[in-house]
Amino acid sequence: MVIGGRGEMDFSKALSPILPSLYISMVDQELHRGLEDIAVAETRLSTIDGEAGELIIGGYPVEELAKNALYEESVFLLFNDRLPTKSELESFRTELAGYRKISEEIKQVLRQAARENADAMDALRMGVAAANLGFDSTESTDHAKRLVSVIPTIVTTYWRYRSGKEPVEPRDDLGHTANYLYMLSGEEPDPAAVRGLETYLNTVVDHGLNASTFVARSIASSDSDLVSAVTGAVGSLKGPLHGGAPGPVLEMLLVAHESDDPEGYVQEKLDAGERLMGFGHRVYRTRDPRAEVLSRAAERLYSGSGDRAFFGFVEEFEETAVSRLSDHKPDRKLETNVEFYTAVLLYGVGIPQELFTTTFAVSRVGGWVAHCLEQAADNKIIRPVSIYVGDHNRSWTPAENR
Amino acid sequence: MTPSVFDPGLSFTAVAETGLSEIDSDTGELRIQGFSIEDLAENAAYEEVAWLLFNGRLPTDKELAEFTNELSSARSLPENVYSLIQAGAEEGVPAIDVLRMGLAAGNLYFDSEDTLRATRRVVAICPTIIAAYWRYRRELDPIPPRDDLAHTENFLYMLSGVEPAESTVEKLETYLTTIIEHGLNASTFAARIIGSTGSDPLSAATGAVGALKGPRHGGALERIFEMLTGLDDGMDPTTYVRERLEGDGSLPGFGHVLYNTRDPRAKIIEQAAERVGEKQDSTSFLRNAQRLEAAAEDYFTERDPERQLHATVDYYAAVLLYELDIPPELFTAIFAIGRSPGWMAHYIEQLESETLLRPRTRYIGPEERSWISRSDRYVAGDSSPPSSDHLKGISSILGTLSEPARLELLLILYESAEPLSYSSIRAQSSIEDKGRFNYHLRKLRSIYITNTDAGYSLSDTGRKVVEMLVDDEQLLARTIG
Repeated sequence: MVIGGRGEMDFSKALSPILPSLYISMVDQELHRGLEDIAVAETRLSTIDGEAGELIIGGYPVEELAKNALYEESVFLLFNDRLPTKSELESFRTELAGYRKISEEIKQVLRQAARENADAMDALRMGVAAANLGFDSTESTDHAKRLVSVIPTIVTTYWRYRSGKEPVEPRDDLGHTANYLYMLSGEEPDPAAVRGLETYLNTVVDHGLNASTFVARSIASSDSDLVSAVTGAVGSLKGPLHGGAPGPVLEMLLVAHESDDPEGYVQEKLDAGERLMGFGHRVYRTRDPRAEVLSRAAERLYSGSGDRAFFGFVEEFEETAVSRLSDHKPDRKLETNVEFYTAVLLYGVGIPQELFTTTFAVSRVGGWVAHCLEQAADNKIIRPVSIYVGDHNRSWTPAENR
Repeated sequence: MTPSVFDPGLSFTAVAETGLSEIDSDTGELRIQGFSIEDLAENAAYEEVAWLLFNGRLPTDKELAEFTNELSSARSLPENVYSLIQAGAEEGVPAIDVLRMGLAAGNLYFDSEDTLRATRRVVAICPTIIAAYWRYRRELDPIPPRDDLAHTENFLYMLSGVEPAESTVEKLETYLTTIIEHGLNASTFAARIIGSTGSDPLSAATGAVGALKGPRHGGALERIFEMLTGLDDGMDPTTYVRERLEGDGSLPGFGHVLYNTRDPRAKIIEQAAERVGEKQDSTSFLRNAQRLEAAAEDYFTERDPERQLHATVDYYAAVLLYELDIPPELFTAIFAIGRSPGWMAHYIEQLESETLLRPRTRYIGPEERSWISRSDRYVAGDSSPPSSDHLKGISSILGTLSEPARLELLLILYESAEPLSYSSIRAQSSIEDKGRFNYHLRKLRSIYITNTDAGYSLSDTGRKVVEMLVDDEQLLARTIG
């Protein structure tokens, strides 16, 4: 164990101990339940300053990256630690476009999931778990690209079946984002919708070690493969505590919009002791920087297309909610979080609410696989310690005596 | 909040309380819910230990019968999942990958809304998936499960199509029971992270199988088997051990990170393998393994008596499974059959603690870059060089270096193996004025120097610059001289 300059404990250089019991004696007997005070990995991919409300992805402030980049560019950045040149970007896009197809067996499973009205996240887990069928490569970087490419196909195939339609084959002359929208609707998408979705995909592509990224790294730490790691990540993203699920925000906004009385709606919720969806974040003490980026993107999208009134209402609602929340709980700063404007933006882009969480996965898979590659490059198996709190010495009782 | 601890393997950090199992590294004891593993392996049926993990006590006859029934009625898979398994088998995908695919689709044709029911589903379908895979691999039709057979017996039946011998069932059951639970290894921890978000049991099990696949985890069984099949009767085990350890340094199946002693489970499995041998008289595989173990023990004792490595459970598991005629291609997947109740019990513990696992990172990337438009990006060999108009920025970055005080700071950081605190650089530097010192330090930041919670250190660029000065052409030495 190395004690660093500021009293920080650094176990990364701890020598392999002579005996397991000696190393076990070094274990801190204090329980770190949520691990929020422990750094588990070094990363170059993103960093969050919760106090200042800053998020840096691949060295770029999220504000810069989100509005400028193509999603493929963000993924290239995460894989290579720099932006691609024009020709690199072109070949990267072509390569990704070549990895989009899924096998017939996966389609059948997705069709069954749709028939049974399984959750979109369950369907995504089924599809991703089988993503190596019909894909022959032993290179982990190829698997990384494959996973990024195939998730939109799985999500849209499921959704087409859910809507009683045949799936739309991917089109390799379209970019990643446009092709996703194309496979959903079967029509070439509006460029403004593509740009709006592209901004969203860039914005949430990586965000430190949330539970899904952490499980991906943990699976990768046994030297397992990327398909396994991403399947695990999808499984954890499904959980309601994970975040990234803006569906309930949209429901709330639609109901409130119907009432056309943001003041009254917010007051009623707060008086009833209910939570307002879309406000407050575990990490950020300020407005989530991603909320800012997405609200600008939504503003651009809505100003160009039909439902301007809805966006005007949303802005009014946000202002009212933030101010009422601060009256309501002056000690806790509850600012707009990423889910709030995700709901608004994705609704504007035309993504069905049932696919909000899977669309988050369409983006975050870039971060998941980049984290796995980073883990593999400097790997230590993740095997934490538990504290035993059960009975100590029991002995066998035959069944008749129980 | 800045994390105060950096522990990349988490091997020094306790993340959960558990009532499921306890390991004593010094005495080499493993207890499951307070029962010694020897006690359970000798007396208990597999379903009984699974029930124990789920409920914290041994079941009554009636409870056990209900549980056995619950498992056997949850074994069937839909046609679409069989097609998936068949595709995997025909493409020669490993069994453990196909198990991941099958589990991921385990909620099809099954009402998995009830969490506990879904945990039973996980335990119930692992054998069905693996047996179907193996049938397809041999171009045979899969055999549907039989709900009048117990868990282990039904698995062997689905593999071969005939009711297995009682002695085979008993030994496989000993194996499955012995490995049913073993604390927070990588697969169990993956299941717990997934549970920490409130996700479902099938998702957790799918993640756990993914982690088990890794060669550092369950994948070890296959390497052990390869090693043991490579031994022939005439080979001198002492020479073999020495050649391996002095060659690539590896001896699969030796050295468990949690035991000072021999893994207590190794003995249970070794004894089961011996009992197979008594009847079948085909024990050269076991005897070779035992001779190899003895030679390895001698070698480790001689090399360093303070640091011995002993056989793990996997070592004898490879022997036992082989002697039971289980195909080696299924070893890792069968480990998952055994371990699945442990995964599910941990999943439930984590779910009930309602604690999201969300650790932190140490950021070592660039501090802040600004966006470069696509046409202005330059990568040697991939685009044409930019004109001098575009090179003003880089020339100012290079200009930062033309100041002796700053070069001194870079050299101070270069000499230190660890990041340095502000005060420590200040103490070593010859710049006396604090304002000047801060100014130079600031100029170097982000391009040449990074500042993390641990202190200041050279960035990759900073290091390359210094290396160019001190190493490549000895520029520094020449100019000082």
